[in-house]
Amino acid sequence: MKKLIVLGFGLLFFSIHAQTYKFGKVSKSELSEKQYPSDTSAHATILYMERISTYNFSPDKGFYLNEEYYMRLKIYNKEGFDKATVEIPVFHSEGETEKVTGIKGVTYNLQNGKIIKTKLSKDAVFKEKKNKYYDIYKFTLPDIKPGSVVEWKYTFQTPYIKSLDEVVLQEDIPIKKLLTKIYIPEFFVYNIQYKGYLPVPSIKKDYKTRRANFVYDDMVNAPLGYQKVHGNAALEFKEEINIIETANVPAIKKEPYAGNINNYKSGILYELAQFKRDNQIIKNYTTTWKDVAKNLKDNSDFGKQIHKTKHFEDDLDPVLSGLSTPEEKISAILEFVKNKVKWNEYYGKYSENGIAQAYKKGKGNVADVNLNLLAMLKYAGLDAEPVLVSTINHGIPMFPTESGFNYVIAKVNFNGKHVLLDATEKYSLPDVLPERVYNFHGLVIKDDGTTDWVDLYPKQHSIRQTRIIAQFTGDEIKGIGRTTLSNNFLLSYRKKAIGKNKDELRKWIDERIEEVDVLNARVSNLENLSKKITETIQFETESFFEEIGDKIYITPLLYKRKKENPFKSEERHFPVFFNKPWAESINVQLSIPEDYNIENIPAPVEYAMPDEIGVFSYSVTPKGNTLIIKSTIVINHPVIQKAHYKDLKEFYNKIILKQNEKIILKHK
Amino acid sequence: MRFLFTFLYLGWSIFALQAQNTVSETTEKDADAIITFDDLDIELVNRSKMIIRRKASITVLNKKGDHFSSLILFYDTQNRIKDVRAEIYDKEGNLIKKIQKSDFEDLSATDHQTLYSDDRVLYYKYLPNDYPYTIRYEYEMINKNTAFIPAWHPVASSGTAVKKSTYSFRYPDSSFEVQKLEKNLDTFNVYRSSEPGWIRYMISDISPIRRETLGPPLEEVTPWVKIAIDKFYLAGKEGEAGSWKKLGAWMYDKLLKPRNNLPESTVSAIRKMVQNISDPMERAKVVYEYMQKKTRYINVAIGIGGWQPMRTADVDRLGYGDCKALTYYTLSLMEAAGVEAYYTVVYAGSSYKKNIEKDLVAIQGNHAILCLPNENDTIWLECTNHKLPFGHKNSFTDDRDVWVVMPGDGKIRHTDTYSPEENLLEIEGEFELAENGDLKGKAKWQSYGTQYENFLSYFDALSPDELKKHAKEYLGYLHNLNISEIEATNNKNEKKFELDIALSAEHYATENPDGSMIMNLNVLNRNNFVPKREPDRKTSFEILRGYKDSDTYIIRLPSAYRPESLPQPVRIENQFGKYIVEIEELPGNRIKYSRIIILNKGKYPKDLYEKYRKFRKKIRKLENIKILLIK
Repeated sequence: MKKLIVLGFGLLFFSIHAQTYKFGKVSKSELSEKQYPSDTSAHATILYMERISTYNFSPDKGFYLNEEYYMRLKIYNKEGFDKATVEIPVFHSEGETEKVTGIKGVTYNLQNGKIIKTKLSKDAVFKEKKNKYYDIYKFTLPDIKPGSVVEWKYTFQTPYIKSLDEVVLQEDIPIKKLLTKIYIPEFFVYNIQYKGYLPVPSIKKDYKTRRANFVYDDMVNAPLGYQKVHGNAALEFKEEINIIETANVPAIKKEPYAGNINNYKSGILYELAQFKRDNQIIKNYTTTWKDVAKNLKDNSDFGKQIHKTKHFEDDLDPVLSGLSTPEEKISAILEFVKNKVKWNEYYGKYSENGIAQAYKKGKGNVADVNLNLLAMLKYAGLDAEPVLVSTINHGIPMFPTESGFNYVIAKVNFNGKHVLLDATEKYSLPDVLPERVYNFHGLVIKDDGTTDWVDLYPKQHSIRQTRIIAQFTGDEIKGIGRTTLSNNFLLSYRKKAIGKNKDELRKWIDERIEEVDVLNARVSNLENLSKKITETIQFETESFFEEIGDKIYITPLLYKRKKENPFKSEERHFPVFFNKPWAESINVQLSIPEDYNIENIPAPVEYAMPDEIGVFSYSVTPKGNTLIIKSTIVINHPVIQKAHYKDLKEFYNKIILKQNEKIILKHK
Repeated sequence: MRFLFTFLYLGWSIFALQAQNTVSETTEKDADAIITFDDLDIELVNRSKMIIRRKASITVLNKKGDHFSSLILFYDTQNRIKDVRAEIYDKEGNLIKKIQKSDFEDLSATDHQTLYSDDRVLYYKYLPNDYPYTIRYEYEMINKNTAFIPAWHPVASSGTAVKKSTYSFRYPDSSFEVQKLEKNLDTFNVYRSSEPGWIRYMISDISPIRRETLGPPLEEVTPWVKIAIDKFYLAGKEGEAGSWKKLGAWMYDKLLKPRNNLPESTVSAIRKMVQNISDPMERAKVVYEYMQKKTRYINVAIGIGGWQPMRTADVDRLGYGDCKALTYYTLSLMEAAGVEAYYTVVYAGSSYKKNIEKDLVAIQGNHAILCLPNENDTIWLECTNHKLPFGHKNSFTDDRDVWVVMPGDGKIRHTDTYSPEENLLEIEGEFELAENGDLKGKAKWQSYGTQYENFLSYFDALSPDELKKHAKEYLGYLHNLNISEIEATNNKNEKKFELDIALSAEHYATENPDGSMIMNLNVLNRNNFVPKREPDRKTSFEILRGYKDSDTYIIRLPSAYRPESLPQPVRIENQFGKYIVEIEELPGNRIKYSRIIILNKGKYPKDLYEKYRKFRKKIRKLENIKILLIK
């Protein structure tokens, strides 16, 4: 949906390379370097990366971006070899296409003190036709050895200039030096936004006047208006040069529960805001969230679709008949859409061929499914609004932009509250959405053209509640365990469990639960989406107790105790994402034989994390020959900021120690 | 070795007979999908033209049968999909969708391992709204390659009932010699007919079959037939089969030899490198390590490149290639060094030791390795791995029938493997326990054989920070584990991976309210695996590779504490293996814990499964043996 911008005049492009790194001038000291001094764990390092972006014009293509990419990379060991393989995706749509030309690559090795060059040959560059949307240029540099330095460069041309490719300022390997220059003609005004957890370099600006000769022949039909063009002419205009330079950027590294780390990679985003001529605004692109809303509302593949109802009326009317409350209608419509329009696993906020067509075909992209949902909700008289979402893989939209979003869901307002709906996931529920959607905030597009932000994370805690009634016989522990799940726990459980027959279900549960034999298992409400799931097992085990001397030591929470802290590293760069507030409560009733005395039980504890982020409580109460053990963990925030990482780690440590304390029994 | 293997295989088929139930009423019970009919019709027109027609109807009963709703047809420059269409019916049998060739997506079939290949795929996926639904499809494909005649494998997927499946292979009788390999037919009711020029099979009413824990893969217990012809065509080249000798000679002359154009400079460099080494295996080792340093694995498969190695000069210059290219390049280097070496074709995979079927002379396999004949100790070299030591018996290709290609000849041979004792992990540690239960000390890991491979893949070539991170995951159950020193060494000469760690853990021994402490004696290597219950076990089970773990830990107790008592030694031995644990007191208030586990390789009937589980449960209990420390 990126649109080509065609204009009635052309610009020739002069590029000014003022650099200390020249293609082909690799030094012996670069080649003999054995490891990257400031990060010895680096398997490879970018010695230099450069991007020079300028605008070109051709009468038939209009304005397009011409980008020169140049990379010099050092490979320290075999683990870094895969960095010598390069993939460049090129997109195409309705006659417009991106292009890659002039790929050159060289590998440098030091051999007996001499620099040996091996060139990438032309026939070793492949273009893979991936599918109808894009191709991938692929090559791997020759003669790679530990210690090699490689260089490659190419020219990338794209007609999609509404948002430039992100100015990358960080990679998963260190960057020693980086230079990006973007030459922006005075006609274009871009919004700029920084991202990442590192301090970002400022953009130095320079201005140049460029004189461009251009040939024009005919008339050009342009979305910006009808333009007459004839003959030869020259145009003088100013260019703003954005110069971004940085050095010694550390590599970004993965952490558990960190969501999409690309969200934290340093970078700068450019989004076209205005087209100007002679200091007059000719076209305003999205500059405010309101503009985003208005553009979408008027868009034939988005806003216009929500009012199409003819295609489903006859099918939907019987479904709605007799339903009165909003809750009933919402659930009925959500299930109706899920069954009528299946998600084809393509993302998108625009309907591919119209929602009526998708309805007829029975499948479509995210917008086809959820715009149908919206149309039906509205048809049923509900106050429904589309919510634009950027999925976890897509990053976080940084400024008013359409391209910052790649997904749409529905919001329904009723009785002073609201719910969020997504019909692409078969087992979703109101306010229980697939994980991909949980990425901070969504943008609500209101009917009156205004916008609003909505917190995508669920407000209600997802609860996992387990009751175990067990008996210690002296030789084994056997009993019944019953776990009830709510909200978001339901979705992931259903995704894994539905479709399994009784025996497979038992085996699957048996495999999940360590150190017990699951003799029987029953799962109720598995396919009854509106109900909580209860998983009941009958189990026996010879674990969780030890006989030492004349005493027995029992781990009272049995298979429900936490064994290992998932947070092992001392430091943390990114927040911890649980994506929902949640709670886990365990209640064990353990009876012991008459001929034992309870000699000791763990002391009760109640422990809270700062700022009410989490609470843990634990108690053991003897009642005759039965012990009642209660453990509750509550986490109140879907996202824990990294400032609280140490607290969270300590919280888990405390839980684990407590849950592994023993009950001591002694023979009478 | 070979004899033993064949024997076991036969025993197994007989077993399968008891396990499979082919009575019609129960056919559909517990099925995820039912193949109502599946007719595969192959017409060999001539050496370079084969027409494949297929018609099938499958009713999908639940989500797990949904893989049938993806229609996937591979093609490349050598074949053409003439026609393909499909129809979808709902549960009442109403036609709900007609799918034409133009509805299919045309995608590249390049996987992540591959830089480029010209393989493509026509792809259509039906997204079901409801179950059951029925998908019917038919296609016709014309193939120039005749080296691979599509096999008949009527029960190819798990949980699928088959009502009827047929196979027909027609060929000009006068021009071709045909070989057929039939597996597991006798345990099922298979109708077969063979007349000159026409081979047919038919099967009906097969109940769903599923793979069980440690059980044989479907391929080993379901019927299948493979066919091969003596004269074929492969990506522009005519080929000769009929015997392994003939096929080997063809492969060597037509696919391999023309690709050897190793530059004279490399040949002389290699000669110089080995000129003072007399032992051929020592020379081979030098060459192998040279190749490992010089190359990396990159797959590019275009046209015949899918079947033929890259030129050796190209590998020499580019420093990369796929398994064929790197194997053949290594072979050319070995030749230059005067070492006898043969290109060898194999089915690779660590979790399934799949044989090249020696009774079917045809191009088989999915990987290449290098064979170095060496009296009784033939060496098999993996040429796509740059870390493995020379002579390592790689679990990726061990213990299976492979095809060795020689000048003018080809032979089936069996690759070597390690014994359980050779797959050894030794851990020795010395620790000090503090009054508060914290533990501190040093330990050394030494791993060999397949255990060496595990450590190599998890701990090799990491920076100290990454090493610490991996070790923290590996020993994750130790509370608030801190690693102060760590060193990993890939000792290629001794084919041993070493790990040295200095660590501390909090609350290793847990305190009791009376001031006593409980301590687990097995500090670093608790073998807790117990295969899951299978009360209704249908198939045999197999321990694919055995191993031995030998651990010794010496723990110095805090001076105020002494053990209340020491557990008695335990020794268990049965057909599955051995378990020995001994605990003794050493001077200086120290306790020594020694434990050995040996697990044997072997295939066992299903009746022994519960016995095996008991053995592993017993081990699990013993692995967590604890002592009470009192003041």
